[in-house]
Amino acid sequence: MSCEECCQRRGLGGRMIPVPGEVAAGCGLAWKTAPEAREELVAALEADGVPVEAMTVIELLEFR
Amino acid sequence: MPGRWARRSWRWSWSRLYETRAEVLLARRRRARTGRMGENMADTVLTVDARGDACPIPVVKTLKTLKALGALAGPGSVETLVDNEIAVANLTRMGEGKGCAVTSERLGEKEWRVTVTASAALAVSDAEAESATCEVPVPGAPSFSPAPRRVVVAITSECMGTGDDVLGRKLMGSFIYSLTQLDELPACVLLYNGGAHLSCEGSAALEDLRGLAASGVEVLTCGTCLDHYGIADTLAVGEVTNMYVIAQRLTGASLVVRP
Repeated sequence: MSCEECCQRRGLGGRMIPVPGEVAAGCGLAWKTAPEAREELVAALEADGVPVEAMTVIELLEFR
Repeated sequence: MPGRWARRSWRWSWSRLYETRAEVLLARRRRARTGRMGENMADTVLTVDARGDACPIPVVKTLKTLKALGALAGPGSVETLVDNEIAVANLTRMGEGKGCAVTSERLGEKEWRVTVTASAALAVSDAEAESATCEVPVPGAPSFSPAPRRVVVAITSECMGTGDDVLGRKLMGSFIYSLTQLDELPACVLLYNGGAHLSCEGSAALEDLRGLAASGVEVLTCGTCLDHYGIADTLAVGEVTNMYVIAQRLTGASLVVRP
């Protein structure tokens, strides 16, 4: 939630979602944004002292 | 649907159970009259008339009778009269699957007799008999897929759960997002009381509710609630509804989910 607050205050795109099952089986919240925004996001989180547990890129494959 | 197994379970009605039991009793009387009861159990023959019965009823009836045969006399045969070849194939498959000798004979244009001979008392559970299915597909038969569920999600608050409203709002946002990711989308999302805020401008759930609406989910917000909170002009997704519709959607649902 501190990540959400940080990103919204800085006007960074993205949104909060439940941690996807592809990443972890447990319960939790994650910040979802585009992979291209990674550097900007990392810098913002570091600047605000928001701890990062993990960052994962999920590729969605269209197979239907 | 061509190529799909016609499959359904068959629950026994008392009348059908009685029919089988009655035949067992008749057979017992016959044996008593002829004095053959107990002489040669392998001669015990029970007859099942399954003509006119749709799959899987012939199999169910035969299984029930095999069970009764085992309880009555141990080894013996069950002769089942059927009126279609599909039933013959299903009975043959069932009998052979239980280790019985199976013979079939065509008696007429639309009449077959399938004889299932058990060399020992068979163990047939009620559940097995009741859950018999058609292994051989019936050409042109409708598939017996279960009726689609009608899931209605009733959102009554901006918060999911109680304890911490800040957390509750995040959880509700996560829940609505998760709805969009389901393989089976709900038929309807109802928003009332505090939940009405979620479908109005400024709500963090708007994007997901719009996605649901675009996917065919009915998104309905209580008009009384919108008026009460003074936000009727800010409704941003779905339709305004009234309590009659809310009551109909809730009572007509096969499943109501209230996060």
